[in-house]
Formats: sequence, structure tokens, C-alpha cells
Amino acid sequence: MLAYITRRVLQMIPTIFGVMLLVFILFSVVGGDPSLILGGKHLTEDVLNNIRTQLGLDKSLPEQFLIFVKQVLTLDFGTSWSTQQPVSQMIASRVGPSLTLTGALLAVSLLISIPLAALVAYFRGGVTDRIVTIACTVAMSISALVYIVVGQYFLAYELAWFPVRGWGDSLFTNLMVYVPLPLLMGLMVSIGPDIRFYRSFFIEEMNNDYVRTARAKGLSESKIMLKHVLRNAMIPVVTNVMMALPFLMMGALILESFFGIPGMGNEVLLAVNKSDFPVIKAVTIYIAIATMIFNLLADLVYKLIDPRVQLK
Amino acid sequence: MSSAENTETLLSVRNLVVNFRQEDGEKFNAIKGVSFDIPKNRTVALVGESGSGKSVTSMAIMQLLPPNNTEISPDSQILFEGKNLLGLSASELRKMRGKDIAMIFQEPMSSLNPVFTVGDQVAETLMLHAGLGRRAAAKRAVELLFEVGLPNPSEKAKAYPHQLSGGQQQRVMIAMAIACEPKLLIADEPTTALDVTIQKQILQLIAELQKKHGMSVLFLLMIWAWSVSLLMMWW
Amino acid sequence: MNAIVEAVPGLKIEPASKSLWALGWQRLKRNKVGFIALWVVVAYLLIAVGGWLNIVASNWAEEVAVPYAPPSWITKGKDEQLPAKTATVVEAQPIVTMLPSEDPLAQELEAAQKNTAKYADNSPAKLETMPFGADLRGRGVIEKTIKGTSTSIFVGIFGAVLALSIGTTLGAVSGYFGGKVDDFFTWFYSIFTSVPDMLLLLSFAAVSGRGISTIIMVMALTSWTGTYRLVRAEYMKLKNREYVQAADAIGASHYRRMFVHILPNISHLLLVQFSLMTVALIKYEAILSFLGFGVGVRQVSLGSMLAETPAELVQGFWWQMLAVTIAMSVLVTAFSLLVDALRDALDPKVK
Repeated sequence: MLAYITRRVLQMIPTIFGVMLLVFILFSVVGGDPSLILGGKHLTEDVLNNIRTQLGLDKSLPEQFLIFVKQVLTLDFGTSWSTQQPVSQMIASRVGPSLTLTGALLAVSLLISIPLAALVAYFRGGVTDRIVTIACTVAMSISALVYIVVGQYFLAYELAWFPVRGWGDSLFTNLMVYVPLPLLMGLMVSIGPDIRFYRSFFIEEMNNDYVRTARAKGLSESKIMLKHVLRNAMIPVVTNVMMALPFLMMGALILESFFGIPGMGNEVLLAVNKSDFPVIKAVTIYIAIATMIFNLLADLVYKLIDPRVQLK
Repeated sequence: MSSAENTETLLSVRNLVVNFRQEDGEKFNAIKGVSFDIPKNRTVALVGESGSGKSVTSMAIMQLLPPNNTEISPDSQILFEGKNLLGLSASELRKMRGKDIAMIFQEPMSSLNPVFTVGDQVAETLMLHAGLGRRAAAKRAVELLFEVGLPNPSEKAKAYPHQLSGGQQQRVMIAMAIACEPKLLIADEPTTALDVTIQKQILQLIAELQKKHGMSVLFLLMIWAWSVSLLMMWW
Repeated sequence: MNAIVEAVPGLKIEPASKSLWALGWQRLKRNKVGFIALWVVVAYLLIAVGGWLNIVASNWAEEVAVPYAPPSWITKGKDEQLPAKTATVVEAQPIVTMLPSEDPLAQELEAAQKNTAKYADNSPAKLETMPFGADLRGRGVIEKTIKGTSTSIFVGIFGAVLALSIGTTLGAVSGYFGGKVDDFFTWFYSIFTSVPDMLLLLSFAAVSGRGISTIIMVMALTSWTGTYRLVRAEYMKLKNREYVQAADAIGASHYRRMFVHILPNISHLLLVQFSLMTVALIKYEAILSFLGFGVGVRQVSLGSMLAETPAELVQGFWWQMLAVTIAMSVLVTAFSLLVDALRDALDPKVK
């Protein structure tokens, strides 16, 4: 096991290097010279040169890249161009709210979509199945934007059941007051695709021979579904959830932006709007590393729950 | 094979007609009127080419065909110890499956649930029909695994299906099937997917178990020559 | 052929077995939902082409109506319901007026009034209502919706074509040649998949600015990975098939083998992939334009229209939101149902 983990970590290194290269090319080569933006209104030759020196832009590209690598390794991305705060601090403070929202969303959506998917799979082929599938497709097709705009307008603005936007201080306040509406919106967007996705896992399992054997043993249909099929269908479900975890940290970008939640997603949007490159670079690198770590964890969990898997 | 002179009949199939409703509304006539008897304590071989409907017949006996698109003619009868299986309710059928009539299939690897140990799967039948508790069932499962010829049964009970060979997997299936001393064992091409050297062992195992437990066996086979060698083994 | 048929009595010529496509088309026809979805999508595509070529809705940017003009089918009702109220005249307080000599602007106002005739506005009066209402600048919602849908479809399709091309080429080369080439491209692929979609899109958008061509490129550069994985797996599987080896035996070059022999055999998979990506890109374009990173200011798309809706809703103007929601939902639903049906129809394993 340890050898496997070590090997995987070693394999991650060239990928991380590649991501750094990509980010560097994007922001230092394609992105152009930010000194003009940062210089502000009163731009003189001196100011420009000053900025360039500060940002290290007067050095050659390979040198700049080495500086960037050093930054990544020391987890110090300098200061944000717009807020002048240290980037690492900003990111650290934003992860909490993002996780609160997306964590709650993940938990609730799993609790709802998995049983529903199992139920729909159980009645597969029938009229109910087809209606639900089409309903899910329609629900998926309505843009997330529509749900959010309409939801925010009716439920928050008109009916005042929820606050229109905002965030609180304590975890409890957040979960009780500020999370429900964005969570509901997020649910509406994701429940359609989730049910369809999980349903396909259940149906695939139900077509297996061991279900026939279980029936031949005299087990009831519900027992077959809840014990034999579920346990097998959980394998792809869990793997899937684990792979989705890195996206949790991004926060639901649009939800955060609309509902004024000070999370990572909102931060990225603000940064892109203001061309605040250090923030975007830092977030991209952090999330890339987190994604790779979570993929490794997903594989390890997969090994735990599926006795057939042998890690190579 | 017609019923012998004085032996009682365990299972009697009369004029079995099975139709399948297809996607485009057409009906497919799978079984066109089959009749045969299985005497008590005897072995019957049903021989036919692939696609001739052997499996459908055996699944019809166990009522395992998909209910949504299967139609069995009301003139058909499947009499088990006098009772017509086609008229039983779902719960009555469930009580018989695994207990009075048991079945083993062609592909033992896919017929076993990959995420549960073989010991658990055998014990499940015992807990369901024989009312045994967990520990008693587990103990009895190990005894059954020994009876079907698995080496190191107490260790093998904790193994997962993919860790066993094809022959061993089929022995596990047999153990599951005979766990509650069924009166009829249906064996649907039990050796087709196995190695030639193992095939004979499995057939001999079934023969021994049949004599020991006094059950009838319905063999579904593809090759006529095998049924001849089976007869030679039994006589 | 006919001579042989006549010479041998009782000989029937069996029709040649249908190709995958012909079979797929038959199966698609039988799937009622999928078939309807197909025609809906075709209708949208026709409208889209009309929009691109400026056959329809070319005048979408003209501000022909009063700002926020309501749809005609509403006002008709209102006119019938509300009786005119008679206005009560309140005795007005006399306003203290300034004498022209005291008014600092008097001279300029006089000059302006003399010149008014020169600047007379000859344009027709602004419309009070429009078939589906108007937006903030008095532009008709129907025209905007048509042009916007056309833009969104344009972006979706071209982005998908570009992404498909990139993914297929890289995947084919990777799967076919294997070895170091495969290692390199897989490394490349892993870089792009380590970063979540939205983040990657935004990073590219942050350095690219707005505009239709930019957004097509950005979306293509971030969506090629799914196709790459699929094509690579297929090429690895198929390169050892006999017909490829046979092609080798007759001296076909690598290029020929890759694109003339193997590629047609996965074309049905590519079609499904293409459709999936088009739907996804249409949705992404809406989000990007909504956030302000998509189409340019002078262009309109479903996303940019949605961006105007929060402000409109608060003021009570809902018609643009309704039009965009209907247009987009029907399009994406039909497309998604079509993709499902295509998958089922073209999968050779399913019955």
C-alpha cells in the first residue's frame, strides 16, 4: 500500500509541474503586461518601471518561472493586486464559507438523490421511470441561472422567506439562515443529473447474474435491492462522490456570487473581473494539487470498498 | 424420459407454453408445449442445443422469468408434489425457492455476489429458510463447504468469489443450493464454463449429493454424449 | 445479378445487411421522444442559420420601442379593464418665476429654442408595446431572443467542433502510437483535468477578454479532454484489430490507417460526443456571458440576455426572462433527449 501511495505521489509531480507551466504561460505570457493596469491613472515611465521591478517583470521569462516555482513551493504568492492582502491569507479565510455551503449541499443532495434513484431503478421500464427521466432532463435543461434569478426574486425578494444575500459569523447562523436558499437552488440544478446518473448504476447492477441467484434463493425483491444491489451500486457512487470533492472547494461559483457568500468561488470571480492575477494563479495551483490528492484518496477508498480491486 | 413404474412423481410439467412480449409489441413463442415428469430421487436430463429453450423451461419452473413481459398460457401446469406452481402467490413462491427447489447456474463467477464472502452467501440461505442465527448459520456454512469438497473450508468461507477458481466457485453454488435440503435441484449447464478436468469432479459431486440427500436432479445439458456418461455414472 | 436469380429458381437475394447508420436511423425513428426531439433541434438549427446569415432578426439592435415596453398580449387586457379615472385638478400654487434678465441661462435657452427646428427628430415615434415586449433600450425581445439563440448555438457548435477536432487528433495519435508520444499527451491531458472546468474557463477568460471568437477558443481549449480520453481508448483497442493489420499488409501509411480505416469505425461515438459537448457548451456560454466574460458588449446571446434579467425582475419586467427561459429550456431539453436517443440508437451492443 505504501509503495503504491509513494508511486502515485511521484507521478503527481510532473503533473503539478505542468499545471505551473500552464498557469505561468497563461498569466505571464498570454496575459500581457499588468503594469499598465496596476499603474492606475497617473502613469509615468518611472511608475511603470517601479511596478515592473516589484513584480519581477524586468527579468527574463525563464527567471520569472523559477521565481514562480519558488513561490509555489513556499506557498507564498505575494499580495493581491487589488486588495493588497497576502494571497495565502485571503484564500485561507475563504475556504470555510465555501465548504459550509458545498458540504451541506453535497450531504443533502446525496440523501435525496440516491434513494430516489434506487426507487426509480426499481420501477425501471415502466411509465413512472420514463416520466421521471424526462422530468429530470427538463429540470437539467433549465439553466442554473434561471433557477437562481427566479428563486432569489420570488423566495427572497417577494416572499421574504430567506434573506436575499449575505453571510453570518457563526457556523450555526450560516447553516440555518444563509445556506438554505442557495442550497435549495443548488439542489434544483443538480438533482436532475444526479438521479439519472445514479439510476444508471443501479440498473446496471440489477442486470447482473447474482441478482438472479438471490431470487433463486428465495430472497424478497426489497431485500435483494437493499442488500445485494445497493452494496454493489455504492461502489461507483462513492468513487464518484470522492472525485467531486475537489470541486467542493471551488465553492459553487455562481451561487456564491449571487448570494454574497465570501467563499473561494466568489473570490475567483472578483479576481478575474479585476485581473488580479496572483489570486487566480494561487487558487488554480492549490485546487489542482487538491484535485490530485483527492483522486488518490478516491482510489484508496475504492480499494477499501470493492474487494475485487487490486492496486497496481 | 417418462416416469418409471412405481416411483412417485415429484415434478410434473404439462403443456408448458411460454411467450415473451417484445419491444415492438410482437410476441415471441419461446416454449411451444413441453411436458415431462421428474420422479422422486431420480435424475432427469433435459438435452437441447443452445437456444432451444432449456433455461427458459427451468426458469419457468422456478417462476424466475421477468414478470413484465412473460406470458405463460393458462393451460400450462407445473405440478410440484401436486401443487400447481403457476397458481401460487409471490410470497408462497419465495418460500419454496432455495428450500424446496434450488438452482445452480452456468457461470458461477457472475452468479455469486462479488462484495460478500462466500461463507456469508451460503449462510444467507440458512438464515432465510432454516431460521438459524448468524453464528449457527456461519458454522453450518463451513460444514457445507466441507461437504462439497472445498479444501480449508473455514478459511475459504472468508474468501470473496473472485479469489476462488471456477470449480471452487461452482462448489460454493452447490453448497448454497443444497443448504436447506431441497427436494429438487435444477442444474443449468453447471459444467459448461469449467475446465474439462473439473467437469467430471463436479458431476460426480452432484451425483454423490443426490444419493446422500435423496433429492431429484434436473440436468440441463447441451451435449447428448454427456447425458450418456451421466447415466453411466449413476447406474 | 438478375441473370443468376432467374437461372436458379427459388434463389432469393437477401438485402445487404444494413450499415450501422441506417440501422441507427431506423431505431431513432422508432423512439418517439427522440424523433420529436430531433425535429425540434433541426428547427432551432434553421433559426440559428437564419440568424447567422442575418436573414432573420438582423434588426435586433434597433431601439424601436419605449424602454421596457410590455408585450402586446398583456396591454390589450389592461386597456379593457381599467376605466380612465378623471383627474382632479388641484389649485396650483403660483411658481415664482425669474425675469429673463435674472436668469443666467436665458440667453442660451433662447438660442436653443430658435434652433429647435433644425434638430427636429424625424424618426418614427417609439412603439408602446411589442409582441413579446422590449428591454431596457427598447429592443424587441423576440428579435433579441432569435439572435441570441443563434449566437449561443453558433458558439456551442463551433466550440464543440473545435474541441472534438483537438481531442480526436491528440487521442488518435496517443492511442495509435503509444509509448513516449502517449506519455507526453497523457501528461498534457492530466494537467487540464487537474483543474476544475469553471476555474479553467475563467483562467483562460481572464487573459482573453470578451468576444465570440475568443469564447469559442476558450471553451474548445478546456473541453477537449473528454473526447481525448474516449478516442485514445478506442484507438488503443482498435489498432490491433485485423482490418488494421490488413491495411498494414497492403502498405497503408500510419496516417491512412488512423484516419481512413479506424476513424470511420468510431464516428458514431464521435457524433454522440459532439452532441453532448454542444449542449454543455451552450450552457457554459450562458454562464460565462452572464458573468461578463462571454460575448462582447455589442453582441447578444442567451447568457447576456439573462444577465439583464435580475435588474428587470426587481422592477417587475418579466418578459425577457420568460422568453429566454423558454427558448433555452426547450433547446437544451430537446438536445439532451436527442443525445439520449442517439446513444441508444447507435450503440451496436443494445439489441
